[in-house]
Amino acid sequence: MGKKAHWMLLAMIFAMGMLLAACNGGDDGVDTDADGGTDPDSEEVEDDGGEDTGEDDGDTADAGDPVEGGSIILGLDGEIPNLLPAHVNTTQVRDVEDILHAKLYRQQADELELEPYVAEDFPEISEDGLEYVIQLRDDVYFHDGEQVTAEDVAFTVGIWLMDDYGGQTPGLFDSIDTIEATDELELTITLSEPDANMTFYLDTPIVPEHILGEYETYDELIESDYAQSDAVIGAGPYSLDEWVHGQYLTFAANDEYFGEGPYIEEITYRIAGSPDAVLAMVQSGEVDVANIRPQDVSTAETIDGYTISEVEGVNVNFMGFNHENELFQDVRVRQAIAMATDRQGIVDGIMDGHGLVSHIPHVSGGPFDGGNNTEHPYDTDAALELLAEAGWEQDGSGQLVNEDGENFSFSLITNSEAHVRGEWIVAVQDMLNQLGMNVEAETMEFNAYLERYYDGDFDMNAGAWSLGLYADPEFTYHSEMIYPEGGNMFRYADDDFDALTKDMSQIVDPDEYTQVVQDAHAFISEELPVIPMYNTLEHQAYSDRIQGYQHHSRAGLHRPEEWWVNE
Amino acid sequence: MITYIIRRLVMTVPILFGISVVSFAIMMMAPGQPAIIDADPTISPEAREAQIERLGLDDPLPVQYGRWLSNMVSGEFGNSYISGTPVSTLIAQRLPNTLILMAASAFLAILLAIPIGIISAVRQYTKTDYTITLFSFAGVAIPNFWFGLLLIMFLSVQLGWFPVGGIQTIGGEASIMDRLHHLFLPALVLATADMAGLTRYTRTSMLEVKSQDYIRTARAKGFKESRVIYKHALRNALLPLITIFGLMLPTFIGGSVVIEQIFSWPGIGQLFMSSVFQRDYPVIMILTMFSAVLVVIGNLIADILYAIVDPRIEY
Amino acid sequence: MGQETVIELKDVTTSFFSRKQELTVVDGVSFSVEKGETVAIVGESGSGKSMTSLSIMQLVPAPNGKITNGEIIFNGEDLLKKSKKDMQKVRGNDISMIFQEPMSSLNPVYTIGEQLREQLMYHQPFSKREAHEKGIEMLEVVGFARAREMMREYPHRLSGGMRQRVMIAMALSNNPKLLIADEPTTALDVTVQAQILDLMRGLSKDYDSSIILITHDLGVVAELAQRVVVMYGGQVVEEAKIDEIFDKPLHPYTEGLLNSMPKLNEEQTRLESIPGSVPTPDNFPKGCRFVTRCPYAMQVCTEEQPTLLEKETGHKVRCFLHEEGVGKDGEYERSS
Repeated sequence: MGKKAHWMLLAMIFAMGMLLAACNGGDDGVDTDADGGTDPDSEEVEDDGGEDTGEDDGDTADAGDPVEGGSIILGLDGEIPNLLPAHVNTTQVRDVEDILHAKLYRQQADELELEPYVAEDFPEISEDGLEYVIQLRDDVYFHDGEQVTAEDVAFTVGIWLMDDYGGQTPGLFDSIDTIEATDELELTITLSEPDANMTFYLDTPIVPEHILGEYETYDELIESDYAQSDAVIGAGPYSLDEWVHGQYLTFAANDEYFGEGPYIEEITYRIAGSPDAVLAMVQSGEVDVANIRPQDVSTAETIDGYTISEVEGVNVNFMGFNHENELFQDVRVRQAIAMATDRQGIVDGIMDGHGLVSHIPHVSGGPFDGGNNTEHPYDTDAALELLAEAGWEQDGSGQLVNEDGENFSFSLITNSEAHVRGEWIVAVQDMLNQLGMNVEAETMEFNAYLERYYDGDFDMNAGAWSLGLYADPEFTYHSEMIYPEGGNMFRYADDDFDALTKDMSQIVDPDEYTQVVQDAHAFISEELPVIPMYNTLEHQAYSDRIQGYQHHSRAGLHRPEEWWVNE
Repeated sequence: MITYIIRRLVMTVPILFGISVVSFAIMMMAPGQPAIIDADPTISPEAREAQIERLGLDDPLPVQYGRWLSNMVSGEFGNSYISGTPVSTLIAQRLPNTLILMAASAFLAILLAIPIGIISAVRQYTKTDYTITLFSFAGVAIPNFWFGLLLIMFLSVQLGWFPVGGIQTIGGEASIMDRLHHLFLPALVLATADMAGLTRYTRTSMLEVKSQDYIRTARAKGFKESRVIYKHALRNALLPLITIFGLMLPTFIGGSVVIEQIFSWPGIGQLFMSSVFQRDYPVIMILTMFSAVLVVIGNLIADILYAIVDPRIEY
Repeated sequence: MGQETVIELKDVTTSFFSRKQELTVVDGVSFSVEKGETVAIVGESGSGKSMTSLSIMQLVPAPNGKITNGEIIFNGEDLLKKSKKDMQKVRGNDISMIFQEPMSSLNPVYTIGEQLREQLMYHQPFSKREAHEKGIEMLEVVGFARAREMMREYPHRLSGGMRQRVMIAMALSNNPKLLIADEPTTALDVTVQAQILDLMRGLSKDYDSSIILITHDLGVVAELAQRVVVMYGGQVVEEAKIDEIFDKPLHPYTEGLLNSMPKLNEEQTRLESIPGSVPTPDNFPKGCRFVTRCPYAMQVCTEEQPTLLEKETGHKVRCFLHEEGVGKDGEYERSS
């Protein structure tokens, strides 16, 4: 079987969460994320005026005509372990892939939607949703001058299908039956079952078959110079010039690039040891662009010569219930917990306002927000009423007890690497205890947390998801998707929800699919299998000499081929 | 002497074996699976099983350990799960950087701590002594990541005297001066705690030696005080420091893990840290064993040196 | 007085200072040593005899110890008025000292040769080779048969007696006018003691050196010394020629010391010893310092300090028993 993984959707914490959040010690509540292959685009946040927070969003930052030449340095806070696209999936690796490689599809500059990139257009999909035909542009060339063909794409996807595949995203292309070049520039994909999100998966880098074709196994590929050294080539706006492991990568403008730009002649990715080191590099002017953690924003705003950009992150923090626990089987209890949690207070008090309260487990106001959600505003009296209806009343000492005299006790776990989340679960513990519950907040190392999360060894958890450009609520909440069959870690089982989302991934029409997702989100906002908390705001500092700057929460440098510098 | 060294080397075998068993067990008992497997929570049970099987993680622990051990013995260090790179390559890329950092720190620690400790001892109970004592306690007590960030803030960011991190200017000429410029702060911070400790040890050792009869003899021979201190007392006072320094090696290795992150120093400390978080078993084990070997060899060298400089020790 | 005085101490007072108090460990000590003469300073530990010798060398442990009063005339000059530097020229050169602990008095990390040469070259314009030869000669003088090999040895390879010989060789290597030997044989076993004493006796004759011998052992005194200074509680309590001390000791303390000495020609089952111990400087009685242990203590002894008086020519004593008008009629009480 092989449920394809929505690795992006659930994506989470993982790969990167770990890398980033963990190693680096912590960032804001979200795991800075990592998801997978596709992605969303930034949302532009209406900027909140005032401060010198410059431009936000993905639009051009400055006027004037682009000038060629110059160089910029980006500060990254994690190592690039390997550049074989199928292998690791970390933000840092993606940042490299974004400028090095061309893809069939990529996220639009300023919408949460895909646009064709190397593909001429969106795929032609057969009636039954099983056959995809994609035409490629005829003007795309690898850095060595060879043309990018359908063979290359078929070869790239084929890497995931190798028997000894050992990367982080197995199963991504499991729904593919065959993939072949039916012409030099025509790719035909046949699926074994319909997959609504197939197009989204095709925003993976295209690697040159004429170089890598000689390798027959994944093991050979992964150890090859192509994966391990600056021998790597792609068809993107920049080519890799030099890669000094653990220190930096320099890229040179690809004059043969088929899209707009590139204008800046040289881009360096400088690898820092930690987010603190990245901040110091900005402060000392050693890098031109770097992501800024929420807690560092006020510091970063005081740095001369830099502007801080703010965009809404494509992620969501949430609190999940373990529905096998009888405490949480009554929807009124879940709603009461939501209403007793002052989400806006958490965003303002703990996140310094760098977040937006969300009522769906996705980007609030994004394409999967139908606007018909149920909000559970902070109201402790209403919460107590709901609890009373569910059989929980405060006793003389203010403790909630049921008719059997039992206390309302449970634990709330999260991982310690996400410091902000660790802080707010304590606030939540406090809020719920005031209601008369007996909550024990626990933080633990990421891997320990993950093990309990997967095993269902928790009452409530606090986590975050990095999100893709698509959503698949069936995978996360459907009763047949309870882990390990799918991504339902919450052991949530509800007949109405099941009926609503059953086989939704086989819907071929995009609008119909979106409608189902919106309905599912509205359902979740009311029934609360998880309590959505907030979407974070992401920040990046960029040097004032950069023109045409664009920002996307998922990218280290967003479309830098369209930027230029004033020296 | 030769037989002694051989005997000591032979003795390291069971020590390293013990360390490897314990490290292996602790590593495998730590919760969580390698990130290469658990990165994707939506992976199908079959695919997950396949991954686990591919990495041999489904075998009983003793079997896994046995396989690891036989690979080690035959020089097969394996590949990193995350980067797919042979572990030997990873170490070759990063070890020189760490060794340079450690050597520089050791050099700084010795260079500063010993004279300061001597001054402190010679001027016992004076203001100088109290000041040195105060600073050396502070040096031991201050967490080095904090001290590192503080120095970066003031010396690099505010004053611009030093780069904030890295081992060389990117794209610049890799001159010795440039390397030293980058090396100074991390080496200083890494040296701080040991420097402070070493200062205290030097002071104590010096004070003890100063009250020895042979120092009185030297004075009775009419030697001037500097000769008494630097010729007769110092050499004796330094003897125990050799052993102490051998014992400090592990703190250098441990300290480099933190320092390398703060100063973006691409050494094995950084690698170790990320390997642990990613449960990159082959890398964790090789680095653990490597540190163990380093410590064992360091102590052996300390003992041999001790024997060389102290005529009373014979084998 | 004899023909030529090598050193004369006049009223030398040495104290240790702590924040709270001043402890006087050497209290107005005066005596002199003639050329070629061996003077023994005797007393139990704590009597101030070692501190007296360190005061001469000005090696009283700094910074707490200080010589607060007196003169030490050596070669017609007051050593106490000399600069640090000038004093360094005296030490190890004009005045040498050997110590009680031969096991720990040699620097363990340098060879015998290095240590001998160093001292020679420091005070005399020897080349290394000359110093080496002179060092070998000195080792031969103190009785080493394989002196040349001995130069290459480290101290830890030598026995205690051998080390003390080395110390003596070093001390004599610059032909000092005065040798101070602080309990040179105490740490050695009996047969070795005798050898070392023989050696010292011979050398003092050969080199015509004056010696200040510090010891608690009257047997050693009898072997070597011509004159004896008895110290108690930081003060000189009796000073006399060797024969007089042994034949007619005046001070009750001297008497006690003699009684506690084993006599080879008499059968004796038990040694008498002086009950009690030397009071520490912060505990000195108001009157005579020996009063607490003195079998002849009188009223006056607890109230006033006796003075050091020359009873007969060259025989001084500090005791009320021998002061005019006191105790003549035997009006003392026996203390026990």
